[in-house]
Amino acid sequence: MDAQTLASTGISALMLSAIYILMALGFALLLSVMGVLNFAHSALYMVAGYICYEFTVGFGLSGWLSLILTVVVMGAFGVFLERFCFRPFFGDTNRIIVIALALIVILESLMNILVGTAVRKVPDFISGTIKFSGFQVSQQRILVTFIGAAVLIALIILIQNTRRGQQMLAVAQDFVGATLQGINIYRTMAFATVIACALAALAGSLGGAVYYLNPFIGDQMLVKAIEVVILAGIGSISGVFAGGLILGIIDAFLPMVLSGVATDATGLGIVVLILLFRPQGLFGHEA
Amino acid sequence: MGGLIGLIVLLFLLPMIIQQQTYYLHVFIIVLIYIIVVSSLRTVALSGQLSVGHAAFMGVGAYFSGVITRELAISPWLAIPLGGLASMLVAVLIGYPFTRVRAIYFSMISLFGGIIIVDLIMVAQKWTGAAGLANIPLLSPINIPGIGNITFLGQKLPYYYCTLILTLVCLFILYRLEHSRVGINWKAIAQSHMVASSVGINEAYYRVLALAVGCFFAGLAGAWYAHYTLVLGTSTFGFLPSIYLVMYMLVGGQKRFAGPIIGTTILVMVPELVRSLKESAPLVLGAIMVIVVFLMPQGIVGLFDQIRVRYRKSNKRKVTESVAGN
Amino acid sequence: MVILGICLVLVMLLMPVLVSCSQEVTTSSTKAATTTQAAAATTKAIATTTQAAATTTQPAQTLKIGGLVSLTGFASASESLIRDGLLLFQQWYNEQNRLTINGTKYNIEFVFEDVQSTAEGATAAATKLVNDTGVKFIVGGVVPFMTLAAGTVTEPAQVLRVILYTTHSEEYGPQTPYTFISNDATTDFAGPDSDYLVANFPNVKKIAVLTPDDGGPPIFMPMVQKTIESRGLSLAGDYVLWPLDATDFTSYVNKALAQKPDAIFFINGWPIHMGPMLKIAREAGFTGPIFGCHEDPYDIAAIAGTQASNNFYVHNIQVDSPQMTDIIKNIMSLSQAAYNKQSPTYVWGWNSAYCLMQAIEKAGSLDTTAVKTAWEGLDKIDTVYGPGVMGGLVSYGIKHNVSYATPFCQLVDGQVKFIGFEPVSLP
Repeated sequence: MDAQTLASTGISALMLSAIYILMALGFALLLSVMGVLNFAHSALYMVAGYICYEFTVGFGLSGWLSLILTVVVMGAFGVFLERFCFRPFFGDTNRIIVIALALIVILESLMNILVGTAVRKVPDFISGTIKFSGFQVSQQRILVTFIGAAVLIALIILIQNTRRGQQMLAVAQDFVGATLQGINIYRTMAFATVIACALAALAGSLGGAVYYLNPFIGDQMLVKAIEVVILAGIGSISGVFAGGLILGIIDAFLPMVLSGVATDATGLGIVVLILLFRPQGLFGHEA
Repeated sequence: MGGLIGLIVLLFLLPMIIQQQTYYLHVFIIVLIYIIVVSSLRTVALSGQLSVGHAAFMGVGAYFSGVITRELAISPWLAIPLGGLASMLVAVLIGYPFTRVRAIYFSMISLFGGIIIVDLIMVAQKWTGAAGLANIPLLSPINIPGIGNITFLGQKLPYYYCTLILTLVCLFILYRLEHSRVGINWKAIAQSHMVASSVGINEAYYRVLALAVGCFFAGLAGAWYAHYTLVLGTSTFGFLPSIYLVMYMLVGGQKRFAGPIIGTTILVMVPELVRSLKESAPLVLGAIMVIVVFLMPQGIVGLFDQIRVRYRKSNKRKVTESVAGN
Repeated sequence: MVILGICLVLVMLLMPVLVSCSQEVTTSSTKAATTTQAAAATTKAIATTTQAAATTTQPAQTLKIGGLVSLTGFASASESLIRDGLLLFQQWYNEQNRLTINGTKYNIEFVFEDVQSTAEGATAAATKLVNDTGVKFIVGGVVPFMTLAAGTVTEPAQVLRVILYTTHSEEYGPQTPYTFISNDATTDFAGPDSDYLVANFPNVKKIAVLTPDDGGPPIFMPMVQKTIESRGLSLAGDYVLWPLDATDFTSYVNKALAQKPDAIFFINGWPIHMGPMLKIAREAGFTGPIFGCHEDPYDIAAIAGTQASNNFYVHNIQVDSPQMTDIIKNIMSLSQAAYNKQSPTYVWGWNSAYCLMQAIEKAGSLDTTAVKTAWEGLDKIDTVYGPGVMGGLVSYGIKHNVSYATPFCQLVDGQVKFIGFEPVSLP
């Protein structure tokens, strides 16, 4: 493998890992703090991409402002989501699955009706390549990787060092025990949902700039998010980082070796194989 | 019971009622096939395993039967049960190593498993034609003494009746299984696998059994589907269809046997009825789901239970009042 | 906090509506749903005035033609535009007063059913059209598995079907006698592309191929390879397959680039695949010529970005070029008025209906077998891209291809520039 291919694939692996972790962390938060299997995460990813597009192209704002605004808007949507879609059905997994699926159906078809025929893409945050002595790489991909990593690190620090964050971890560990400690469950759950939506929004906006937008880009991302969370193990927040990194590397390097559809199957197969030997995930607690 | 017999008679007379409008016969046939699949999903779920990859097992049966009838000139009547067996085999092979995996882990692994199966079907494109498998043989003509020769070429009516009979037989088997010793063991495992094991129920055995039975019927229905539509696409068996199957079951109601039947019927028929809305048709589906999830906690069948409870309550009050009045 | 959240949610849902109403910045944005309704309303209005103006003794009859297009699902981005193009055709054709059969004047009316981008959706839609609505003519079909599924319904019923694209020999050939194809398809472009390379890029010797893993490549790649080699070029290595649901194409493009090609062919795909692949290839430093098939160059440029949209060739039109045929210019002005948008895909859809109507006119009958025979016997047929002939007997086994000089465009700095019409040989 020559320098260009290695550099390009390596950057790709890191960038994919960053996006996967952004999605997976939000999904994991919802799962461990609230027990919610949020299938609608894919719709959040997609809607965020379109919102970012509207801010940038429709309103003419700068790329960075649009990004921040999108994250804020989607975070606010998280409040709505928690209050009206998750809280009423708290504890009833089946109904939460149905409402999440209803969200996907409604959001995807709404988007299809409104903007379906137009092929769109969030404008590049920065374009062009950085040239090194033997190879060149896309500036935007490096930037996306850095943004993702920075946000994630900041988030982890935030979670572990603020009261809200620690409350979240407490609820994730032991729901009943947390209530006995006097933690306001509903506020914590809202907090978790807001963070999850904000992370998905960041992933969606960045993904929308690196790739493209259409009403169905979220579906693939959802599968990846679930892969990472299951690989890491439910209940483990730091495991998501390792899981995301592993999956990013697999998804970037495997196509170099295999061809076509076989790459999808093999990538998943590796994950399933790992789970065969460690059903609770790499870092999870015994089920 | 009487209502059930009446319903079955109605179903047999249905083509007469709709005056053999071929398009609606087509929709009913599809609904019947999916009723088998979703009911088999519920059977698997009885043992506490919510499979989010069930459409893939339908696909295994469909492709297996489609391929062997194409390549080996086997009669479809023989190939269809073989398709069910193939699906069952795959399910057992995959399910057995994962019998220690529970609850949500199982669901997610079943999701991955479903995707892998469909991807592998696409990898085997020399036989399966990747995105599309064509020219699958029709059901070959059968000779029923007394009625004569029945051909399936270009006719929806024979397909409808045969599908109806198939569905009724499959549902009967699944129902009896659920109310047998096996079914009781399944429910025990689902409630608490620890208690069940302590009473001597072999969890691994019964879980694999549930998977085997459920996936056999899914594969059977899939193979039947293949010889009806004559063309297969991997899109029909991917992860989104799997999720939809779960949705049909949950919206209909998981607690009762009739749940999947009602859920599938409504959620498959309504989008077909509102076809004229074109792009807006999925919104109707979304609206139904939202209504059900907010108003009917147990799914649509739960609605009947709620009504029945309220009816009984008001009856009891009437009796109490009349007794008090005396 | 909650109230704020609700307000923001409402704003978020309303935003796309608000923005679309304000001035548009890009060329490729539209409110397709509402404008289609407006166009349909205009169509109905014009149709009734046409009928009122007709002075034939009998009132005009309506010939219903089925339209099999995906309005939801991944294929809807392109196929909704096909539907819009067909609606434009319907309006224009009825104004021409061309169709008179046995003394009765006919207007056409398209009935669309949503294929939903799935095989079972195609079967259901086709069943509805053939059995419920009772159409005898159908237009539509791009993606192989949807075309295959629809064929299982239309062929036994002897419904005459015009598809727009083919990849797989199972979906179109002697086994589908009632299917015609109105546009050039996968293997037809290799020849003109190779000729262009030989004429303009004499240094190009090796070509890498990126193509979707949908079962087609094992069938058409040998033909493509033969065509390329007949011009003195060769494949740089094994063709690179990418899965249909891939989002990040980096590794697949890298694989192709590792073969050290001088040029790259993207054989089949959509703008959502080719756009990213073009961008990745240019970002990796590849400067050689890259060819697509017939996709919308504007969409590809929108995704790839200005810097990457260079030295890219595709067999489609530049909507505002003075070299376009009169028909295309007319279509573009009609679509601008009706949809406030000019897209090459409108032309694509228009062409299929245009060819179909010529066959019906030649047959002078609405019997599908008669039309089929008449169409096969058409020596010359007019297409939106210019004069065409019927071909395909050797290439596909059945003489049901409409063959014409295919348009050829180039992307230069993100702009679409028309090059010319390239002859296509389709024996």
